[in-house]
Amino acid sequence: MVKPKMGTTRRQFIKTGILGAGALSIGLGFPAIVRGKTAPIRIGGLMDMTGGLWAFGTWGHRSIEAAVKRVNAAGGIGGREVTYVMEDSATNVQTGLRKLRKLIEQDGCDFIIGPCNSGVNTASAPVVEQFTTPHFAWGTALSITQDKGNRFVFRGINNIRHGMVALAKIMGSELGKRYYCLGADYEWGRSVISEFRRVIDPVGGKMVGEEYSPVGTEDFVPYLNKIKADDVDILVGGYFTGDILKLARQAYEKGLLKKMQIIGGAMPTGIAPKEFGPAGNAVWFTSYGPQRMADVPDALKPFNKVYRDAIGLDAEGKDAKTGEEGSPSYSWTPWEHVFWIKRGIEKSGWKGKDDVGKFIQALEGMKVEAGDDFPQGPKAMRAQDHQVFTDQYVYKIQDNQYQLKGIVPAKDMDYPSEVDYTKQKV
Amino acid sequence: MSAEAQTHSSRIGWLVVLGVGICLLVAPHVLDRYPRYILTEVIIWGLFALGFDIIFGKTGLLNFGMSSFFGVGAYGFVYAVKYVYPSVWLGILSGMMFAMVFSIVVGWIVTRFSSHYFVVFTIVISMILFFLAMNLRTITGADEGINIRLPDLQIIAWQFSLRSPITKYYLILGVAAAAFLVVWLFFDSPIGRAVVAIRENEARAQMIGYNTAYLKLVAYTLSGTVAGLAGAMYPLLNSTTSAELFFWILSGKAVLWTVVGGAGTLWGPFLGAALLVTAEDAFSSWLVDFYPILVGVLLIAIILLAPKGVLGTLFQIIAERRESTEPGGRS
Amino acid sequence: MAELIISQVVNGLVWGLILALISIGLTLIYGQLEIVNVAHGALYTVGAVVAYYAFSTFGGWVFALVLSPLALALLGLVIYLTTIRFALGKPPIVTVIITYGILFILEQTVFLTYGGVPRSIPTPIPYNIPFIGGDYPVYRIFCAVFSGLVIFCLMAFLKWTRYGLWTRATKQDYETAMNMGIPVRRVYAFVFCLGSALAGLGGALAAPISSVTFTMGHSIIIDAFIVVIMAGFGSVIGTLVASLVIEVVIGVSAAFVNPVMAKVIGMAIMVVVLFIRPEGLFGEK
Repeated sequence: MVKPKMGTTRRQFIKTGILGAGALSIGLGFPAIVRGKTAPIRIGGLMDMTGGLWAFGTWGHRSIEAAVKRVNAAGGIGGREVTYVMEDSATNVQTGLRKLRKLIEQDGCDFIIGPCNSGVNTASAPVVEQFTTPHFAWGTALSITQDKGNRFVFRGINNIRHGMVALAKIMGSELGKRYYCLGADYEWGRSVISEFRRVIDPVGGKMVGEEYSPVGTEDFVPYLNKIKADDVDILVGGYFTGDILKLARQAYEKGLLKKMQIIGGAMPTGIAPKEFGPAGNAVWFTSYGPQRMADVPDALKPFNKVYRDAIGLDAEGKDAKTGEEGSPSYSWTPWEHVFWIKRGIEKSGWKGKDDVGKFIQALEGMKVEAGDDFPQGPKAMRAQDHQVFTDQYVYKIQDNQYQLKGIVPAKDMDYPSEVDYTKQKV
Repeated sequence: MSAEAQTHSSRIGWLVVLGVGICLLVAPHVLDRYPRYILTEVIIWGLFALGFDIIFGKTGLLNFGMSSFFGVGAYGFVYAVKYVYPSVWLGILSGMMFAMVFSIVVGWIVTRFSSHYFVVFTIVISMILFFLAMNLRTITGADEGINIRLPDLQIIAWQFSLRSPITKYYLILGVAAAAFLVVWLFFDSPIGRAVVAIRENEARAQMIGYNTAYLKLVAYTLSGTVAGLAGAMYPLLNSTTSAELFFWILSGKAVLWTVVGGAGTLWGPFLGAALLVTAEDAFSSWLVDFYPILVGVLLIAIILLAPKGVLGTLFQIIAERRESTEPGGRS
Repeated sequence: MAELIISQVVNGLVWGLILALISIGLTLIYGQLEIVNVAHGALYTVGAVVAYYAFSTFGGWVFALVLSPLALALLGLVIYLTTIRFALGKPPIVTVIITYGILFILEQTVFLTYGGVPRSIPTPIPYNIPFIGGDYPVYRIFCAVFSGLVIFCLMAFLKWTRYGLWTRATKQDYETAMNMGIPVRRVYAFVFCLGSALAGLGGALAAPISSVTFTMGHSIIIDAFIVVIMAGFGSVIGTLVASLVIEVVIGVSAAFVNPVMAKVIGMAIMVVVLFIRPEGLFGEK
């Protein structure tokens, strides 16, 4: 055994001992400190990757992925990394509910970004309330932030009411007021029509007829037979994507579209305007966001470009690599939802599930400016119904292109809230 | 099979059942939250498929419209709890009653027809129900459906909150087990055996003197009531229902689960549901694109190669092995 | 009102003929092989997809009139050889499940190849005739006439050609047919291919009217089933009559009641007919 020499060696020994003890204690204690800070924030994306709404889900997923990447590249939220888990709701309520549970119970998600499917959103409301998990809805049915919603539900996109108000405002001056309603027999189809009527009836609108066709109808001619082109100015079509395409073409073939115009309840996601053929020139759409870069207001252009580049969308609204039609009118919403979550966490100092009340209160009434985070434009999140109010775009097909016909500012589409979630205890 | 061999295999059978039962009772405390939820769903779907097995596996009638019963049961539960009185038992009873009445009415029409007409008939009736459910939106809420707040569960003097998934699990398990027992006893009884006789050979059954029309109606009603009971469990689990439950895809799933698990075995539907629901959940995350193709291939393979399904084929193998080791039998 | 009714009747007759084309395929397959072909709607969809490619790659939808039935006959043969022929003689559930599995496979394959986006084929005959206060597309009339012709040829075929005779003989009495030396297995394969080809042709015809998408077979299969069951499984002429009747009834009802009710009425008619005559209008007891 080597006896430590007196003097410097003892000092060295003590120094080493102190250093060693210090290192040991830091080594033991450090992970605990680090763990508390670097546990990731988990965002769950419930997206329709298969089934009828797969085009929305695919682009929504890309948007969330890109947004999360961006957030992490800038250091995460409050130093914490954000992780993203996606599950496929398959355009089906039963599957959607099951995957929602998976995201919350298995993947431990702190926040959920929901699909475009209104049925899944309304069915999710009781579940997210039970699990005290904030849910950012993407569906446009009115009831999601009305009677079917609750304080845990937020919506970062305008709803069908905004959509139809904007359409009526832009079209109103051009066209007459006699309208015929033809919609798909499910809630969204009926909402399109009821919301349009709500806007146009008080200003002299006259309804000539109203019919709802069973889901899956291929031939609209039996219903179009009832329309006399001379008696009707506007055909309100409560259909989307493939069905609005059929309706327009069949109406054109019947010779109805010489003067009459058709309203589609939403931009036909994924469908190129040329598919409409000559029928296209009579079809109007309401859109929740700009289709092409050219349509974006100058002040918002740089932000929109950042968004498009991040998800691989080109200036025309197509996939930059494959040339397939994207869904720019909708896909910005899940991107922005990620940043709503970020803002909510930053403002409330949210650390974990116990702080969900503070998070919710932070978002109620929050206003956001346009930016890379919110490329679609400035928004206000109304406290009572957690509904966002932002600008709405109106399009018409002209010469095989989606042409912007007008942008309606949020303030022109205001309506009183029918619920007050702030009264609900969290 | 000799009497000795028969009791021996029954004993093993009962041991297996006991084992499964114990697992099911212990499961919610052992499983993670999400697998526990899946298990709860599987029990509901298994019960639903059991309804199909009654009319198809045991009676021999291919009913491709089971979703109607499920939807009717679900709405029966929701209406009772939301509009009449917030009691879980009332809801369950209501769901069952709605389904039972519906089954008797439709069954009376439908059981007059023989095999192929019967199949298409059931499909068409199911479509009519779906369209009506979507159309009568003030009653059904159409595809947005109706959400409810679950009341507490009252058992005599005790009150249990249904916020706990474990309580829900035991309730659903209990209901399913009770229903299964009833069905099992039914097919063990003379009337149940008469029903099975129809499946074997309807003409002969009639000659023996069975009133086949009546028996078919009984089987159809039992089938519908069980499926409706499963339907009532759904809003119990998820606090929501919608017209989408009437869509034909759900009917196809009942067929799928039962055929894969083993038609006619009564246990088969539960096994099939367990296998396929967990597979779908596991696969669809990373095999999204190919999953439906795999299901299609699986269906074809099973029906051609092992038409009795997993359990059916298993029982057959066991029976054959018993016979070949009998003293005095073939070696 | 009278004008409206006439318009509905005409449109009903047009769709009745197109639907008859598809339904006859279904009833042939049942009548001959006792198979309830749940995948028939998917075959229709494939026919429409082939028509789309005929339009976009081969330069003309018109080629689809030949390409679609040919492609579907081939597909039908493949399906028959790989699955159906092993199921002959087994209980009905077997073929129902097989065709159900085929439905999954076909639809998903269409989704993965053609894609999930609905596309349209411009109408091959861009003319209308002025008709009762509006226009009626000439193309639809073409479809009706063409379908009628095909059905007529089919009936002639069944009555007067050797294969047609064999088909009817095999259906009547399988054993005797075999004993007479008729290649029964080949007849079965032939009928399955023929039925598939008819579904494909129906899809090609309907494609320019609606739009081509992977789920387009869902509602048509229900309509076809209703027609076939009302007519009585196996009767070709019965299917034609039933198809016309149902489509006209639904069309005329739509003039008075809401569309959903009109569809329900169409289905209810089937129920009523079967009550009165359980084997169908033209079915054999």
